[in-house]
Amino acid sequence: MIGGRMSADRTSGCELERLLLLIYPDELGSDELHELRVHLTLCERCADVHAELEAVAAQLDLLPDPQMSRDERRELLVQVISATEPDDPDLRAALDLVGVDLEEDLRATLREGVLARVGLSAEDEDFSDLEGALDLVVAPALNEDARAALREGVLARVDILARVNLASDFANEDFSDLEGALDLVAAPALSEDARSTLREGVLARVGLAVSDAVQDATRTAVEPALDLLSAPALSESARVELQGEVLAKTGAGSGAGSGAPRGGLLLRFPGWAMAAAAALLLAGSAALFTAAPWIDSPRNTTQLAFEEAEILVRGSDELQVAHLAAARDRLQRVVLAGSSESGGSESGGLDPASLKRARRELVALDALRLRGEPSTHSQDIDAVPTREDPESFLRTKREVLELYPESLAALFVLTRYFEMAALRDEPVARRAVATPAQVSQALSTSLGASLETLRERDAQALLLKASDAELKKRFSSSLVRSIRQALLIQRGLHAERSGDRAAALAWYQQVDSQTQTRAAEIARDLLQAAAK
Amino acid sequence: MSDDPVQDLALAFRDGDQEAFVQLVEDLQDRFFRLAYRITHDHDAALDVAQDAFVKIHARIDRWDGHSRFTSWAYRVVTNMAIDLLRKQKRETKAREARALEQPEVVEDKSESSIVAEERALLVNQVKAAIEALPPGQRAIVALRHYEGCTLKEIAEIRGCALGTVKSTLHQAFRSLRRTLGAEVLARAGQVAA
Repeated sequence: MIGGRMSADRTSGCELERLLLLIYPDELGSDELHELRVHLTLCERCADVHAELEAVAAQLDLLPDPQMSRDERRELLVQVISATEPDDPDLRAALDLVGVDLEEDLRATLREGVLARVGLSAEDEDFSDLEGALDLVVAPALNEDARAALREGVLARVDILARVNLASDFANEDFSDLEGALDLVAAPALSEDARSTLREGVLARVGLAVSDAVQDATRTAVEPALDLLSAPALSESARVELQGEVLAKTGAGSGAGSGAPRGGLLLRFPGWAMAAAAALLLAGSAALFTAAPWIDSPRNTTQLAFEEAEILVRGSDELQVAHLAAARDRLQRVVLAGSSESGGSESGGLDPASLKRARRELVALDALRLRGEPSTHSQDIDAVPTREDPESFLRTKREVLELYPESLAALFVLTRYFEMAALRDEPVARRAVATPAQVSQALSTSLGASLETLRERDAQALLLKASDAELKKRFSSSLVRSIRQALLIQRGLHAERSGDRAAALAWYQQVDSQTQTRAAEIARDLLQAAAK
Repeated sequence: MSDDPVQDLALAFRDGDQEAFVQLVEDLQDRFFRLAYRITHDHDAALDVAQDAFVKIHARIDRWDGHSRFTSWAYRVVTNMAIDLLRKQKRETKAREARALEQPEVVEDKSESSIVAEERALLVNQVKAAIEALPPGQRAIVALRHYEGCTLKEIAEIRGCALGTVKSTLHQAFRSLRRTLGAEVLARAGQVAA
């Protein structure tokens, strides 16, 4: 008898429960386990019961271990995140609105295309969804509300998926083509401009694949463009022209990437001037990133990389695509570093808010780039800043501020606005940057209080730039000079475009009056050009 | 910081870190699915339960006190949802039981290995049917103890009942399984396993 409870001739329910625990030995202490095992050798009935229980357990082990497939895991992650994301109702509403003015099959195509896209991995690159979206260009126009909801919803989805992809180590997924295609969905009836933009976008995509010298990828990339040939909205001549260009792009020995600029990125300023200014910014910021001795933590590195990206992005619709790409790469590096360290200790990891901003920035940067082209588009003509009406400029960029309120692009828009306001209000003083008071006033009157966070952050950022003492405290003097000179050149170019030649000359002269640097040479050239 | 990374992630998420939630989904989705499957015996239903459980956890994270084990709290959500689903689908489940008990046709000239495979498949179906015949609460406890490796104490926490109740429920489940499967099946299981 064990502890007075187990007997050879009687096995009660209570004792059965104890026998059952033998199946799960982690439930018993070593003494109790030993005691029960000894008892089994003495009690035939309990030994039989135990054998039966073991047989039941063995039967349970026969059932196969259920497994989720890779696709199911990914789908579950996507569904959960989209269902818990604050923007989710917009997405669902947007997807539901897709059908407002579309035929059933077109609606299904867009829905499937978008969903397929967001479910794709980098490994399974496939352009069929782009193809579907492009096909929709010929569909009857969506009404204004549906269009806006669709666009915002899908962009929100893209943002969600960017995070999902990062979590799944697909950090390099590029959604710019999807965004471009979605922009075109909003085209009322494929106007000439929209068609032109579409053509540029498709050719850019082709160029991308050709430059990668992957024949299969090239073939796949061309398919959407070729499908456009059958789009009824294109005229016969346009169709022939597009076909010719596509074939030229994809012909044997096509000279990877040596043809027309990708993505139809049209520069507004003389290429040599902006390239020089951007090169200075790039060099200065690169040095900033790599040489600053006070970088002592991943968090500082992240912040620093943001500043660097900011410098590169400041003229995002003016600088060359290479510099935008450099900014994007920098952000990607930050995000990847953040992802790889996400499982690290709290003290050594990156600031989650900064990491989130960097991820959003990757999407925002491409969106802004695509939205800003081409320069001949009517919206962009309106967007050219003028001395007289900085508020109208701000209004034209309101979408950027509202869609990406925490983005560097938003900071760029605001900075430009203050520069314009300064030019208008105080052309003689030519203050270096807006004061925090101006920041506060302008934001409160133009955008309301909903961007409180942005206001605070940008006020700090602008204040930092305004203070030479602060800059010198943090950076080497040569670095400060490089950045300042580049910014001065940029301001001069901006003033010139705004029609204030006197202000532009003054900015250039400020650079010229400083030490003999490459920037000073550029400024002298600009002075001569402006004088003509 | 604790020794349990899932606990740390859950605490971070409770403090508002959405990235931590994404990581939690990544880390726990297999376990949620497996547990839900063990209770529902339905692949699609298990996927739905796992997904809905994460959404529910996201919405109700403030109800977790932060001191108890997060996985216990989360398992309670999954288990309850799976049991609720089972109860709703009671009629469908009975139909599945009937299908599971259908025996494959006897085909002549089979190799020895295919006979063993068929025997095994038949046994699996019989075990599945026997489990599906258990009340949902017993099924959940078998899933948590036998397949998920939770201790009886943890199961008591997950199910929100006394330890003694868990012990007796598990015992009842085994007794039911033994009765349903019968001596012949149990003996055959031993042969197949061997």
